Amino acid sequence: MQPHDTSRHSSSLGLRADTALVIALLVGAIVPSTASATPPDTYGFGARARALGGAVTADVSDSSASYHNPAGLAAAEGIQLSIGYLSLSPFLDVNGERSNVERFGSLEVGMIAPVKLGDVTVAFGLALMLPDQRLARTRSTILNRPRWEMYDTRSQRLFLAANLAIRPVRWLTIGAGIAFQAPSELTLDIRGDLALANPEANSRLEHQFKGDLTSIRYPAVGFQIRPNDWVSFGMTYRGQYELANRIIALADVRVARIADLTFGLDTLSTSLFGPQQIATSFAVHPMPNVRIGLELLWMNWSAHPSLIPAEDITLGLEPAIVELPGNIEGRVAVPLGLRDVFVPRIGVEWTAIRTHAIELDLRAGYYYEKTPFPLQRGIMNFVDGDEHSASIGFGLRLTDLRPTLPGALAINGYLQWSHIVSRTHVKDSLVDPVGDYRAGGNLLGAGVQLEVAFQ
Amino acid sequence: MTRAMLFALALGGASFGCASLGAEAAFPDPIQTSGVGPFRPLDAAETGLEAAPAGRVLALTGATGGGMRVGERFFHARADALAEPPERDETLPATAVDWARFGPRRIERARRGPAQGMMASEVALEAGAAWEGDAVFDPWVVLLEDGRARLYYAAAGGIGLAEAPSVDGVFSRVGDAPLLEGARGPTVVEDGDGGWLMYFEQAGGIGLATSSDGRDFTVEIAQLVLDRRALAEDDPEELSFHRPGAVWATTPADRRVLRLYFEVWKADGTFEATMAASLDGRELERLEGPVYGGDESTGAPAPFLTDDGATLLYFTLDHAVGGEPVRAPVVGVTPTITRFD
Repeated sequence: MQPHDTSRHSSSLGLRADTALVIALLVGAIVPSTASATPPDTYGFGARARALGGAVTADVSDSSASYHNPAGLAAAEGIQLSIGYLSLSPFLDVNGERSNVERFGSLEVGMIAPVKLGDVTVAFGLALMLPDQRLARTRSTILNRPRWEMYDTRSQRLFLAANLAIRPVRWLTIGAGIAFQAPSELTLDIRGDLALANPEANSRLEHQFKGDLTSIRYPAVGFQIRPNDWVSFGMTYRGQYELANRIIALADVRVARIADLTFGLDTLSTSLFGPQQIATSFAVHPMPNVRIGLELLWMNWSAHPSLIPAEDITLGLEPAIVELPGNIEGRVAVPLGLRDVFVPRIGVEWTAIRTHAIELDLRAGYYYEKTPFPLQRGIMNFVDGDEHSASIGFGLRLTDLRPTLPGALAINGYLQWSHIVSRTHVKDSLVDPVGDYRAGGNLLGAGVQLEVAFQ
Repeated sequence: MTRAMLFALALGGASFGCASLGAEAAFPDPIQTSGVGPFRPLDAAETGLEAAPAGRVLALTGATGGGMRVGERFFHARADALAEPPERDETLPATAVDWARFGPRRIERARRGPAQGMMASEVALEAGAAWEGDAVFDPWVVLLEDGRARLYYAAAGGIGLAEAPSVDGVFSRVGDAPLLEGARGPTVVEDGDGGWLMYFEQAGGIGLATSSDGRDFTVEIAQLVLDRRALAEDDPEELSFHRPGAVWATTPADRRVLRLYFEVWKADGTFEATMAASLDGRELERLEGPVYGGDESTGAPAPFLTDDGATLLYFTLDHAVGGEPVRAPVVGVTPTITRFD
């Protein structure tokens, strides 16, 4: 259920000095930087938003605003807490064989805390998407393995966003925030003596492991304009982020007290990338109980760096008691050749029941996301295809809960079906190590969310 | 409304409970639809044979010249050791069979056992015509739509043809002269237009002959271009090409591709099985490497497509008995995840 602004205050386009100051501080605090890609980019955030095909940027004001448009936080009528769970099961095939893309499940937690400062509303929002298996996963790209880039490793990330929003006038909300991701640098250092005879008993090897998980941030900025009760407009910008993982392995071992063996591996890979995005959206209410949202999302996938790791391998033996390869060639990063995509979205919401104690919304949504990946004619095998996604959902809002709850309790649920259009990849080379293949499939998702809104 | 609150608490608890579910999924399986390998040798559980080396498809005494599979039958050339063999020809690759140290080669027919291994080998054709000398070898069998089987083979004078009413029938020679004089290692496939393509070995290269009826062949290309694009610095020079084995395969993209497997002899005294592919059977793209990942010399590759799209490759692998190289017939499979349990 989307709380709508029903106030009829007139407004002015001019901003007051204090409001302008707050906006300046807010925007100035957001420093654009390269960062990472997130599960919400693939799956969205919040049960209502998913049921509406993600076409909510113009008028979102629940906890999913932290992802879809931070400006919507300032439109919340009171403190909101939400918790939900989503599950999405992929049924993706390559050449008729099921790919091992695992089910994605995640806990979603959201919070909005608005504060009234005179006529100005300032709101703080938090959103957390916690995958149910791991906080982050990195998988190197194996060239001859099909990889569903959008639905495999990419989704295995924790998403955390913190946002601030302001409503300086009744018809305008502005919001901005940052989301966090964690790249990693792992170092394994092995030193000591290696005995060839009975090495388990006679070798003396020490190893040291160091892992750094440092945070990176990327910005999200948005606004909503609601000039009247029947139309609203919104726009969101999300910054680009790139998650690099570096693994360094060093070995300096004296073999049987006669030779020093050195080995070095330095691999740098991009495990996750999020393109900068701009979502532009309209929402209209042609009838009092009907809301239609239209949205167009631009995703700058063409800026994607290579997912093939760059590797530097060194191997030495002094004195040379056995012959070692003169040169060990690591992999060289290969451009992906992605293209920008536009994603049209539409969502329809119908308030079927509205009494003083209960409201029931029925929802439906659809979006079409063309894959940014070109046909895989060369050495790479990213098999993602164009996606048609349809969803239905409901929102049940209980509004007469006093004295138990001074506010409203809402339950939102949805079902989602996504069809990945089958694509036939024909290799340029007849002796390609992988060969031709077809890839396509479906994804089935469902989720439920509980939301408590205090007045 | 207390019920509503209890329901809400239950829902929240269920959400946290769901968040603890899940299990790690394995990496996706590799895709290998081009037949370039690397081929995985079948293990003993798949072949039903315990004999070394890994992938052994037939365990017999004597030396083998390799074989090919048609249906559930395996045609191969074999010879028994001589009691008093002559000196070994030192110009041969170290692990190649010196046929002068063995008795006359003959073509045998084995049948598939309960697993992928072959058994009950029997003589299918022995040398008999004047042009054949004392040996017949390099068998390649084609099944016709009416059930007849054509056996193309090599002998001293060139490539011959025999036919049988069925793959298990008695083979009778067709004509009294070789189809192609001086050639060896025939492999025959349909060309897609009702005609036939025969790849053969001659003068250290592989040629192509064509036929409208599968009986009378005309050499179209004496030496196909099969050279690698570039040899790496440490790679030995390639001296000659031998023992072609061809098959048409349809890819998941519905492309019909001719795969031509063959044996390369190299300047370091080793040889290896590799392949090339073509859309028209004439212009071929060479694989830059072997189709088998081991260090041993591999020879006489003969492909066989299974109904589920896997490629079995029958070839010979280094094997010696009492220090005498005899080769061993083995079978490998790609995609490597394919199993025959």
